[in-house]
Order: sequence, then structure tokens, then C-alpha cells
Amino acid sequence: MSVSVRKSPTIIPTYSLTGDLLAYLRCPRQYRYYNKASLPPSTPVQLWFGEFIHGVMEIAFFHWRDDGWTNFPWDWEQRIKFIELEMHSRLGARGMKAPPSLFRRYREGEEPVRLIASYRTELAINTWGPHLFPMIDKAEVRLKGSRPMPSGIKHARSDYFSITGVVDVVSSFRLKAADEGNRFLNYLCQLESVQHRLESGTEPFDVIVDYKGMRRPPSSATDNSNTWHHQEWQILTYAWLRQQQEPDRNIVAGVVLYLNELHPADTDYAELIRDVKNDATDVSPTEEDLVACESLAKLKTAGLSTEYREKRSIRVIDINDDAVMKSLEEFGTVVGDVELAVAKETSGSTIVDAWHPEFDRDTCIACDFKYDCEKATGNLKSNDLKPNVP
Amino acid sequence: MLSTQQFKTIVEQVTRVISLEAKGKDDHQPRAILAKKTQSLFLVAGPGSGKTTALTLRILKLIFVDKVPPEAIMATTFTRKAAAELTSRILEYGLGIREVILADNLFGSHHDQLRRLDLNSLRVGTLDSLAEDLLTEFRSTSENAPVVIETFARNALLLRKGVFGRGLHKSNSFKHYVKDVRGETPRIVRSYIDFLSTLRDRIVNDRVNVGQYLRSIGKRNVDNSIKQGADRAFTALSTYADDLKERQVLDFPALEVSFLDALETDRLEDFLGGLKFVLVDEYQDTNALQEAIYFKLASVAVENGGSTCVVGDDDQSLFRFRGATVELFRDFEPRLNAHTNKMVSPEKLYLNRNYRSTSSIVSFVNGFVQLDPDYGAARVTGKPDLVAERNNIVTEYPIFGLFRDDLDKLAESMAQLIDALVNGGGVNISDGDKSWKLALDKNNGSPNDIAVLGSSVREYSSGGKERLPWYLRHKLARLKSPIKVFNPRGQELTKVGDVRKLLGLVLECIDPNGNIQNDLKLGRLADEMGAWRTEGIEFINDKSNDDLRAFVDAWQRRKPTRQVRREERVSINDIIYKLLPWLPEFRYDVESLTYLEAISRTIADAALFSSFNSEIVFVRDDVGEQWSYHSVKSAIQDIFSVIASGAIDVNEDLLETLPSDRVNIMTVHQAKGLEFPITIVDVGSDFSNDHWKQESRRFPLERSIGPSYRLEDEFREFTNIDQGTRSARDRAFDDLVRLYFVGFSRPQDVLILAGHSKVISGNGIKNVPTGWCRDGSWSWGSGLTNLVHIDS
Repeated sequence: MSVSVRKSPTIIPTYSLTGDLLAYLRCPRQYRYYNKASLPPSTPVQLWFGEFIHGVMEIAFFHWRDDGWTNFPWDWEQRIKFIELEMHSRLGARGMKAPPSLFRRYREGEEPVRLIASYRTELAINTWGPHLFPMIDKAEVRLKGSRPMPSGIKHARSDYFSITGVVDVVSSFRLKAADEGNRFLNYLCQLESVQHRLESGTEPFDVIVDYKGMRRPPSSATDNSNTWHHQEWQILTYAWLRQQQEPDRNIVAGVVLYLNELHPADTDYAELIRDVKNDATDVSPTEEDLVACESLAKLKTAGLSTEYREKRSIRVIDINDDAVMKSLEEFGTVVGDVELAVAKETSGSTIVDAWHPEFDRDTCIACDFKYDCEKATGNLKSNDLKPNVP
Repeated sequence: MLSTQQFKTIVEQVTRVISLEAKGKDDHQPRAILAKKTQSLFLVAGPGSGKTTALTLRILKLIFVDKVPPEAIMATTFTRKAAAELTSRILEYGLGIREVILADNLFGSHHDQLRRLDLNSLRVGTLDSLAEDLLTEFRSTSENAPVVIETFARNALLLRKGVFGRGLHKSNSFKHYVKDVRGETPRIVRSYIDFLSTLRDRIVNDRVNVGQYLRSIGKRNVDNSIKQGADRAFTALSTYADDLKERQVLDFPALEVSFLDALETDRLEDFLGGLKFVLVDEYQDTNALQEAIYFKLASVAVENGGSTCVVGDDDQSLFRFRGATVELFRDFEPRLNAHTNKMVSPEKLYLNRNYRSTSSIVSFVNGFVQLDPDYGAARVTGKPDLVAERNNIVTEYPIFGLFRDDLDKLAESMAQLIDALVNGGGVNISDGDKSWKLALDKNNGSPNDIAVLGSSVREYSSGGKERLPWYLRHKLARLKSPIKVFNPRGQELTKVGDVRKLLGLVLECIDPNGNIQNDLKLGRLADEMGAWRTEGIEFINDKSNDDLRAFVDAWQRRKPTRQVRREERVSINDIIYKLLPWLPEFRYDVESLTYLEAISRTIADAALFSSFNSEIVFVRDDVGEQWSYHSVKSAIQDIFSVIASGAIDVNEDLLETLPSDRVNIMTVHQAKGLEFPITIVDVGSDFSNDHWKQESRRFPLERSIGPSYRLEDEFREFTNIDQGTRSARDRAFDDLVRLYFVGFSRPQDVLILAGHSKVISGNGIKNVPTGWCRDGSWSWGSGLTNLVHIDS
């Protein structure tokens, strides 16, 4: 004779595409600390810029839509400066202060000191605003969907899991509405499926757009980083989620805008040269741009061509059923891995035993938990692993 | 899409256990689930009555039978955990029902419609989370998404703008006012913040007419100093509210005000246009501001051809101290009628079938709640008894008692009992010729099946004496096969050894020897920080920590170990994380990680208001150090002193992965909504004598009425809540009955009442949970012979 066994309540775990699955793929252990335990990073440079550029693009779109700001380019002094200040103040209200290397607040009566975040903002709005804004159907679209837990996952918390995400922009295209000179559409036409749609019918189709406050990642795996593919899965999964929400919409493509490419940082040039040498980028520079790049990396003497920077800032992803299914399977596997780690921890494993680390140079260098991480220890220089003062 | 009958059949098929056929006239659950979509409901749901199941199926019935689109449904719960549970259950059953229909060609004509059904578009959450989401989603171009601050930032702003900014800490008139309305004089900084915080919640949540109130104080026959104190208090609150506006942030009361305002001014027109069903869970813990929100939502849903459903149990209302007003639940029907001109007329139904506990527990709980005849008037009228309905009971155990002469013996006996259950295969308890074997399930049983509940789970009393949770933790740790406990609220964050070391080390890094700290004259807070420093230094002195010594030394001397600019700003969290290699538990152990999270989030949140954004200005020893000094001063004042005041708690949600090999020690409040096979309820381990200071926790007299009741009486006249006829003392008694009603109804199989022998011996110490009524009669009598006592 024995008493009952306490039942745990059924909770269907919810995974955010960026906050959970992509973070886990970067490094499971770092994910445990920063995302699951929500420890704030000590120097949230990336976090701040990501939020800043997303907010700026959203405010800019609202001005375009509601205030008749339809003529481009926008003047920085008259318009963009104030959008930057607005976003800076919104982030400040959330306790997110601008990293001094990226942005400095403009004060009345003082000559504004423009830093890299501001140059990127201006270029992002003036490069893509004229072509993207007229096509926007909805901004900041929240998505949620449920899927069965992949089979064979023992100890999963439920038979289902939910995925959430926020799409920055859903654009809707109609053949006649699209201006022929629309560069955004021209890039999209690289895809046969888009071309086919444009040629064959008048039915509108949707494109999912995601802004990224980062450089274009290498298009082949390096340093164990597979960011290129992970971002593709992200867009494909967004497409699936959107389809669940509005089954009648045809989503044919996704676009990722790598906004840092419009105004690269000094370190980006070196990385680009490395990618070119490793044959790890899909957008190779012309000879002229490569020379400029090398000189920029060393002496900062010339700029990359506008065309090349624009090309590097846009990535078009074909959306089709097979690719979507594959991305769902990939993320399903990730969910299975996370569930396994959760179950290990619940059954008594320490956090470091349950969550293994992955190495990616940039991620590890910026990580607050690198000092005695076995992956970082094996791959970073000892100087990077010393708790320095300050 | 489905007929009611088809829905019933499929539900049975999907859930495998739930039948929607009524088991008699008084079985209201099927009626509640299957009511027509325009029928609003007022559900009075007792403990263990399958409330979540009923709410889930009510929503699914609306979707699958009445074709209400999921996005037209909004459901609020009291906690995020409850929201996750309700959402999960809806998805689990809903997806199951969908699969059955899709697999059946009989429903072929609905398949297309069903494929389009998006159950994830339901809006389920706490009222605050839904308000935040809706205000974000439906904001206009010029509006910012709301930014809501948490407790730490709120307390810090109240301290800076309210207490210090308005000089309350030096004001005698403010002290007199607090003493007058609260019954206690504030002594430490924390109590100033607590008072302002409670006052703000009360006036916003109860929708107090402040102008009227202040005018009435002016006319009262009280000392002028009290009148001046009231003015100072409300000026301080205005300053705080203005500061929130300036910073473009909201605290939770302001968020709800903003939400109500948006509802009433049609800023949420697009959302309201589609709203058809509003479900409110735990309505007994609603306040007047939330009631106004729910009434507005209910009216809209009914106008749109839908309905509302309000669920709760007045006997389980536990959050008066946070502003909950149980009277709003008890008087729900007349209040709603009056507010909506009878447009919304809910049907009152009772969910009183208990599927959780054995008959003896249900009978004990029924008896307890009816023991004091004066409590009857506080309850919803016509409420039926709980009916025991659980059908897989192996043994009907009696209710047990475990009472000992002192805490050490009580904890020892409790630990022996738990040891026998967890490590020894069970225990036999006899009473005369009867005997019961208590054992955990051989295959799947764990310490997690046992809970020890009490009104407080702090390990130390306010006077610093060890309490039962402390004794029990130690006794269990000393067993041959030690057993751990889960008690996240057992000790304050700053009593945890590693936390003290970590904070001490950071303080020593940024402010060697406390020179800057001393300039701040922080009194007791400085003593606390001094103790952390001592523990940090002792840790450094450990021989194995030479590297740590070098790290701290380099900071203290501002000797950079890497190339730096003339001046660098360093996040305090950066220092914290760099110290972790020497304190590995923070990264290895789940519980320690939650402590780290509490500290690092506090530091990050302080960036909202602290002058140096939670950063230290690092200047090399050979250059000027004015900014460095001020940045350290700001960090100590804005962060470390607030942590030292004990105002930071861990986030229990982060303990979801805690191993199940621990015995739960919880407050009754924490245990609400949970169930345990074996529940030990502490009904009086603190009461070794009849001290008046403990009266409010066991048998309140006029002199010991707590501040919540006094504040209610102070302001109620200036609200639209009926003052009613219940005195503050009656309400205090009612709340004690409710507290132990909830505690006693947690167990599935075994309920054990535990405490000091004094509460059951001789004339006993007057104590509600051991059967005393407010008229001074002792129904259960000396020795509590209604229980089977567990001997040593």
C-alpha cells in the first residue's frame, strides 16, 4: 500500500526561434546562462544595436506610412537624427544604455558626434526604405505555432512544443503595384519562383523580411559556426508559422537584410578578406572592392562600392515546402536536444554536465562564462581567458 | 463544426477519462462546460474540483461547437505558471480533438476549416502580461510600447524620489501618519519603502478618490502632525508617479490604469471589435481596478454576441495583503448587474466535486471551514459542501497529528518520519487496534511527494531565532542518507554564504576597505556590507586563492592587467562574472544560479535610474579619480545598499529544472493550486507561549490587527467598494480560516497537522488552525482527539 505519486502539471514548452533555438545552436551552455537563466550580458553591444536598428526601421516606416515622408533620401539632420534620438530614449527607458563605441546622444547646441550606429541607420533607411516601405503589409508580426515533439525524445515535458517568433516585416507584392525600378524586387527576382509568380499571375504573394544588426555571415561553415544555415531555417520556420496564422497567404521568399554591411566596421573588412580567402562568402568582391577592402583593413583610405555593399546587405531565401519541412525537422532536433538537457538537469546533473559548450570564436570572445569553459580553453589564446582588470 | 453530442464523445476519446455527462443534478461541471455561448457564468470552484479541466473544455466547446474563433477568446490567470498550464491543456486537448476530427471522413466538410484553426491565437496570460501585449500590439505610431519596471527598480525609485527626494526619512509628521494608519512606526529604510509601495498599490488598485480622502483627513480630529504627514506621503507618491512618466516607464498599477484607459477611450477598438469571450480565473483575488477592466471586457464580449466566465473561490482568497478584495467576488453578481444595467446576467454554478483527496480529508476540510459560525457570513451564499469524488483511493488514512514539546524534537520526529518514507520503505502508525502503513510509491515515489506547508517558511524569526524550516533542513541533512529540501524563500538572498562572499569581493574590488562606503553613512546597511567584505577577505586568504588575491589587488590598486584607455567604464556585472571561476557553484548548481540571476538582474535593472548606469569608472592610479569615486558611491548607494536591505528575492520560476529529490517546504500561498500526496501543515510550531505579537498569525485581537485591514478601513470610504459590516478583526479571522482551508486541502492521501505541544495541551493557546473560533470556544478541544497522533 502506498500513497499516490505527485503528478507534474503538463506544460507544453515554448521555444522562441531567436531567443531559444538560435541561441542554443550558438552554444548550449551559453544559452543556459543568458537565455534560460536570463543573466544579463556584461557588455550587451550586440543586443543594444540589434534593438536599436530594428526600432529605427520601424519608426522610419511609420513616418513613411503616416506622415507622408515618401521622398528619399531623407536628410539626416532634418529627419533621421530625431529617429535615432527617439530610439535611444526608448532603449534608455528599458535600462539599455548605448555602448559608447556605437552611439553618442546628440545634445542641443552641440555639434553632433556621429558614430557607427548612426551611419548604419542613415544608410539602412535610405538604401532600403524607398524600395521596401511601399511593399510592407505588416510590421512586427508575432507568430506562434505548435508541433508534435519529435519521436524518440525520452523525458520530454510534453507531446507537443510551441515555437514563437516575431517577423520584422511581411511584404506583399502584386505585379502591377510593384515599381519596375524597385531594387528590392529586382533582388527577389533572382529566385525563379518569384519570377514565375510575377510572370504568371496577378495573385499577391508575401515575402518575409528580417533585419539583422550584423555582418553577412560566411556562407559555408567555419569555426563550427553555421549561422548562415541557421538563419535560413529561421526564415523558413517563420514562413510555416505565418502560414498557420493565415493559410491563404502565399509566402514565396524570405529576405534577410544584414544592415551592418552598408557601413562595415574596421574589423568587418578583415573578416571579409578572411571569408574571401576561405572561399566562404557567396557575394565576392570585384577586384576593385577587394583592393579597397584590403586598404580599408589597413589604412582606411577608400570605400567599398555602393553596389557591393548593397549586394552584401541583402540575402534572398527561396521558400518551398521541402525546405520548410527540412527547417522544421532541424529545429525539432534542436528542441529534442534542449529537452534532453533539461531532463538531465532535472535528474540531478550539474549545469555544466547537462549543457555542453560549442566553440565559435566571436561568440566565445564576447562570452562572460569563457574563463573556465573547456571549449574556450582549448581554442582561445590564454590572454583571452584571463579575468583581466578591468 | 461539432454537435454538442459529438463534442462530448470526442472529449471522452481524447482525454480518456473525462465524461461530460452529469452525475446528478448537483454536478455542475458539465453544465459549465456545455453552456451556450451567450451564457455568462459565475463559477464557484472548490479545491481539487478540476477547475483547469473545466475551463479548458469550456473554451474548446466554444471553439469546436460554437465556432468562436480562438483569437476572439481572452483568458486571464493569477500567475504565469497557471497561464502556461491552461494554455498547455487547451493545446493538448484541442490538438487531440482536431486530430480525431481530421482522421474521420464523417467530418470531411469541416476539414478545411479545421486546418485553418489556429489554437495558438488564443490570448491566455496574467492580466498584466495581456495588458502589456495588447498595449504594444495596438499602439499608434506615436505611442511607445509600454516599459514595465519590476519590484527592484520600483523600490529604488520610491526610495530616491519618494523617501529621500521628499525628505520622508527625516520627517516626524510622516512617521506619525504611518503609525496612525498602519499601526506601526517605520524604523528602517525598508519599512519606508514598503509603506509607500503599499499606499500606492492601495490607492491605485482600489481607485481611491485621493482628493476626497485628503480633505477628510483635514477635517479629522487628529494631531496636525498626522495631517501634515498625510500630505507629505501623497506628495511623495505624486513625485514618484511624475518620475515614472518622465522616464516613460510604468509600474504594474500604472500599467493597469493605462490599460483601462485604453479600453475606455477606444484605443483598443480593433481588439475589442473581435472579442467574444472573456474568462477570468482566481477572481477572488481581484482588486477594484481589475474589476473595472473585467467589467468593460465582459460588456464588450456580450455586446459582440459572446459571454464572460468568472471563476474563483472566496474560501481560497489569500492575497488581501497585495490588495485583493474578496468582497468583489462574493458580490460579483449584483456588482456586475449594476455596472452593466443587467446586460450581463451570469448563472452561478458550483464546482464542488473534489477529485484530489480522500474522503477523510474532504470531510475534515468541510468540517474546518464550517467550524466558526461567524465565518459563514463572509462566504458566498448557498455554497454546498465539497463532495469527495476521487475514485482511485488505496487507503483512507485518518488525519494525523504531530506535536512535540520543542522545535528540535518536532523537527527530529518530522525528519525521522520523512526518512522512513524516503529511505526506509515506509512507516506504520497505530492508534489502539488500528494501524496504517504509510509508504511512498515503490517505483516512482520521491521526496517530492512530500510537502511541509506553513504561513511562513523563513528559517529565522525577525528576532534572528531559528524556526522549524531551519531545524528540519538540518535534521534532514544529518540523516544517514541525507535528504535535501526545496525552500527558495527559506533564507534571504544575503544570508547565502556564496552570495555574501561574491558581494564582499566586488565591494572590496571597487572600494577597498570601505572608504567610500563610510562616506555614505548607511548605518545598519553598512554593517551588513561590512560583514560581506569580511567573508570575502577570508575567502581570499584561503591559500588556494592566490589568483583571486591578484585579481582583487589589481582592482583595488587600479592596476590594469590589459591595455586600457585613460578612462574605461566597466559594468559591475563584468566584475561579478570574472569572479565566478573562484565560486563555481554559481555556474554548476541550479539553486545557486538563481541567486546569481537575482544579483545580476538587480545590477542591470539599476541602470534605469543609477547615475553611472551600474558601471564603475576605471581610471588608472596615475590619473584623476573624481568620476571613479562618484561611480563607486553610486553603485553602493543604488545597488549594494538595496541588496543589503533584503529587498531582493529569487525568481522561483527559474527553479523549474530543480531535481525532484527534495522535500518541498512552502508557504500556503506558494502551494496554492498545487497538490501533494503527503502534506504536513505547520499549525503552530512558533507558538510555545501566548505572546501577543503572534496573535495576528493565530487568533487576532483588536490590538494585533495587521496593517492590511487598517489600510482597507482607512480608504474604503473613498472607493466604490461596499464597506460591508465585517470589522477588521472579523476579516483578519476570516483570512486565517481561508489560509488553513487552502493548506488542509492540498493533500491527496495524507494530511498531518504539526506544531508545538502547547497549542493542543490543557487550555491550549488560542489558534484558528487547531479548531478555535473567534468567540473563544475551542471546538476540537484539548489534545485534539479528532486526530490520530504520531508518537515518537
